[in-house]
Amino acid sequence: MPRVKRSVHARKKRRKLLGEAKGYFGQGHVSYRKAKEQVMKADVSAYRDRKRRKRVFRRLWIIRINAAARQEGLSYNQFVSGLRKAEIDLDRKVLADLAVNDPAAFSLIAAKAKAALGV
Amino acid sequence: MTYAIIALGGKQYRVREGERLLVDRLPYDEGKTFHADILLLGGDGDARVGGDLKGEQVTARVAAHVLGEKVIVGKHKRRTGYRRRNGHRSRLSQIEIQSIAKKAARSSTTKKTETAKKAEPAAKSGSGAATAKKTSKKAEEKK
Repeated sequence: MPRVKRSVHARKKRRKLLGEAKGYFGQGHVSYRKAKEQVMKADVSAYRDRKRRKRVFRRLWIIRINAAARQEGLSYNQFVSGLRKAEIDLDRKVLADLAVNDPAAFSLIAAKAKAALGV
Repeated sequence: MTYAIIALGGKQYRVREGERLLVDRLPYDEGKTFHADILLLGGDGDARVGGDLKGEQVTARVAAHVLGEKVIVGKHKRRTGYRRRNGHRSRLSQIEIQSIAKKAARSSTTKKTETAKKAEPAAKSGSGAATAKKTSKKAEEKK
């Protein structure tokens, strides 16, 4: 078996990893050992938070919808129940967007929800 | 009506005529047109939902099937030697909204393609601005 010299590949490997750790705090972007740990943690956090982001945004949208619905004289709870009865299938992302960017459309939807509730 | 809210692949999108957007991979071939489910038509201080939408349709064309940006999936469980690192690129379709209009009767299909063609050059000039807007929006409100 011919002998394999490690230098080139070892350098390449370390350079690649330190490249990924650019801008990390303290030793995180300097020391290979620490950087390796930090990149691993960063990957795990990124993966976890991609899932979490979906929940976080849903919460934000609900807060916005609630605020807008209350201006129409409905609580969030009543509003959503009204939408179900009125068979309006808009999701929370869209409703929150309407509340901000097209308040007229939102009031119209709220009116339908109210009608369906029989309030 | 200036915009429509459509449902595609379990997600809902607010679209305008001529707009291009990325959605989860659709079961249509590239270049094919299809009609998306409409949930709301709005704009100009007015909106229509539910039963008021009879006879309206959104026509869209699959511009291309593309791959999303690469995402690194990193998993690690401490003390157990469990470590995974995979790349992933989601399968997406780029679609172009050709028209938001009344359903044309069978005989007037030529008219429909005409409006569709009109929408196309507008989309090309606007597509650059649209993507820029999208990325800035992404920063504020992902999804």
